[in-house]
Amino acid sequence: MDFSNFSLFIGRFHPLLVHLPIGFIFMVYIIEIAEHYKLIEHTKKVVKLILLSGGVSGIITCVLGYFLGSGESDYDFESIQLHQWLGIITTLVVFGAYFLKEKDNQFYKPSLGLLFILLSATGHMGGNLTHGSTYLTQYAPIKFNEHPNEFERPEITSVEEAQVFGDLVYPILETKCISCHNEEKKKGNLSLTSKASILKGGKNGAFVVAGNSAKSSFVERISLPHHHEDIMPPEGKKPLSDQDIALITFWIDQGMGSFDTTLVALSPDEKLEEIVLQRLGFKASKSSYAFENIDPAIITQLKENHFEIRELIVGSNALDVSISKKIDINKGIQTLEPIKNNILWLDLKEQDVNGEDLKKIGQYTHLVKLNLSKTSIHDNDLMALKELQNLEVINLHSTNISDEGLEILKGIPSIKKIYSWNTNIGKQLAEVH
Amino acid sequence: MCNKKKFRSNNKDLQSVEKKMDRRHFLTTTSMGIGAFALGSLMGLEKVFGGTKKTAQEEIMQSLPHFLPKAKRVVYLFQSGGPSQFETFDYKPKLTDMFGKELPSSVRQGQRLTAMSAQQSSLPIAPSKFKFKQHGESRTWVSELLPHTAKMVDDLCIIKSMYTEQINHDPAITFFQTGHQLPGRPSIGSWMSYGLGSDNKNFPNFIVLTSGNGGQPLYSRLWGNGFLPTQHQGVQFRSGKDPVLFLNNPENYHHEDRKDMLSYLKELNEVQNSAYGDPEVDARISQYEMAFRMQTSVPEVTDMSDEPDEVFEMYGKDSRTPGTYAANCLMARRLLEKDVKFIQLYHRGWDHHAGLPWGMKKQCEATDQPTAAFLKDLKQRGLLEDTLVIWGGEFGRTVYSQGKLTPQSYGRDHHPKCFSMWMAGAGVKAGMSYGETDDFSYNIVKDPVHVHDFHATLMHIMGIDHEKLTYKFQGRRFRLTDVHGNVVNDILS
Repeated sequence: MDFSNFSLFIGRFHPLLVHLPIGFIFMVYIIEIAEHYKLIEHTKKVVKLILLSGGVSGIITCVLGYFLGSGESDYDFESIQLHQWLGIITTLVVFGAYFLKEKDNQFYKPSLGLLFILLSATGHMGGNLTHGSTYLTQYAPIKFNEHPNEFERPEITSVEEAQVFGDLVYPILETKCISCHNEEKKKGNLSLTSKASILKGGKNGAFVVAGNSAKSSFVERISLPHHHEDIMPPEGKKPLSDQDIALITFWIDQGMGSFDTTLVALSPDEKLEEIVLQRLGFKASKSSYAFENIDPAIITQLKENHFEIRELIVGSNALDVSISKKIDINKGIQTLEPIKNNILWLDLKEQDVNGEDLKKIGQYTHLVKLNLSKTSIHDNDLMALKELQNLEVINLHSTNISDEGLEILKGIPSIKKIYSWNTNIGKQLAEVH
Repeated sequence: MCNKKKFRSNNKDLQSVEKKMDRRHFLTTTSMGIGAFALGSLMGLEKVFGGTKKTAQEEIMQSLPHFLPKAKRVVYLFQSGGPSQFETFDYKPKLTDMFGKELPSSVRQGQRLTAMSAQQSSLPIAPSKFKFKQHGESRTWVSELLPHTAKMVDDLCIIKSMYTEQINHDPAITFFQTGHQLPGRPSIGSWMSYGLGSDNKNFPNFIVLTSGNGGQPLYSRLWGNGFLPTQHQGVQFRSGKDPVLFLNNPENYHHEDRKDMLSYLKELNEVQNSAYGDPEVDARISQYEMAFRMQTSVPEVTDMSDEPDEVFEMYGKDSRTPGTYAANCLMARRLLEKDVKFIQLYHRGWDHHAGLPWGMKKQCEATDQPTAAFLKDLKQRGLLEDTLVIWGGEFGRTVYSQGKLTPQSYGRDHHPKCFSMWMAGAGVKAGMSYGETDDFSYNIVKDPVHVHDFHATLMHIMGIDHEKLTYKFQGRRFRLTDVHGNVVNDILS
């Protein structure tokens, strides 16, 4: 048995036990109010007993709090002093209220009022010490700007504006680290709320070594195995994700741990770039495939009518459309109208497509691949496709297309491949480019 | 479990059985039921507080595809037995002068051999008996055994630096097909089916065709679904009257009756499902429905009478004989036109421990023309635009002769450390050779490609990040590539 840290051991019961006097005191309010409205009577003895219990448990709580405060060096000295004295005063006021009640003194009720204020203040300070001062108001509907934050960043509108630290690393600190590493509660003597304190590091030093993540204790501690004693955030809290760690490593290695390096000044690899874009909310800006949203009901209905529809990349609204059996295609094309700007690949092989249908398809602005093989289209029907700016591949095998149709298609600047086997063109594969 | 329909028999004997079943039902569902109830209420709470919380698996499924897919479909022409790289694509001219010489130990580096050649007193070098020539604009060396494939060489991406860890057929082929040498994992096609779903609900997503006789056996676990839901297993199409076994109605059994029977059966299965929630019941329901749709779709696609003569001529005379590799290639093209996602051919008979020149000649004659015709056919129909074709076996063969080496004949043992395979079509560079082996085609000297890398690349081409498509089974998340695999970016188009 090792009793060397015993005072700290029992001291850590302070946050638990503190709720006992709070509960007792609130019980007094409830009884007094109930008596005031004549719901119950003859409560004097009960109230006295509860106040006494509150006072005694208050003393125990104060003692444990003292152990905790002197044992752990992680707390801000001034905050803890204030919390300590407020706690002691609160306890004394409880005893005061007990004697006033005993004497049926007129100051009894005002003393309860004072107690309420003291209790709230002490409790709030205690909460700030445990969870950090931003904890309570972080998700409040109204923003409390009590602590102006030097890392506060305006909303960015383009990737060019993004700062590696301010827009990518700080949000991680804010959600996962700062509750224990702030000015009031400096676990391991580390605060992450200002540039200076981050550079200063904690008691283990070398928190951020510019350009060398391997030597930075920041990266070392967050990338330990999940059950390691020293992992940060500590066991029981959610560890940082691989993406978080990758971003922090990137900031230290390539961003040299600087606070105002912009993202574009560095060169993240492909995987990291994807993470970054996703985090900043520019998910699809890299590839040009981001189209207007589609009502899922339309897709469901099309699927019921034998259309096979799938999204080419999740979240892009870019669609690959084919048909699994022969349908009334003229009607079918009409049902595609609501999603015409979303279709990239369209497969209409073996369907009875006519010139009118092609006129509609000619307005599918983003179409890249079109399969019209084994259909009965004619050369001049293809005129309707001339306006397609993105069409790269068209499959016309086993149709009646001739050289004339081929010439029309060659006029589309974006076209790369025309499959023309088994047509009147006579060539097997015409590669334009 | 509400609104459950009770099916009750009006036969007294059956009723007494049903009563017993109820007692058992009560016992089983209460002993498990308390836990299940607690769990259920927990999950209910989760719904109250967390809105519609998705399961981890649902989130995985809804993130697919991860990239813009280059290919929509895959055809894997698996050459079972381990075709020799020396007589196909890996040209080793320096060996000609070393005929019969002992394999230098500096090359072998103490590698363990199979029990079949470990006892040999000498390991004489056996150069290829067949000549090589350069073909196409890419000036790629191809053996004279593959004259038709040689003509298509500008469409191929040949990987000469494949390697595996398995030296015998069963683990090697299982490894290639499932990413693990022991049976039980889902095959590539099952992962694709599971991850990407169907483009044509009238056909299974994953169809298997086998050909060849003799040599190493094939077994259905190669196209098995492992722990994935059963509807993702490969469906084997056979030659002959019943391409899919047990698909046709019994004689004089009317199609409409079948439909009625299946819809009642579905109701019964749903009752069972609501009581137990076993996903295999869902799988069974969907399989019955698929089978019903296949009653019309399969005869359409397997009836080749609508193919013109010149097509049969292109694929070779074997293509008129059902069950041959050539016929299977033609069938594969027909299935591709129906948008089947993953088609796997297996051709047996490449395991040439002895009499290799004769054996290789025979196998190449059976497969070269159909393979080339298949590629050509896909190309002219535009199918190669969004189809990836893969050709290869489970490992390569040794440079030394197993058994007696004569100028006329020799054998080659299994060799996992390097072998050749090719890909063609959507997503890969055409007219490319990737990777190099040493002068003995014994060790890889440049750009090795492991089986896991091949899987990762294949998935990438289909729009899947191989690290992200996982399935949780027995407490662990599984991937096709396990914890390995790197996409071979150099061969991607």
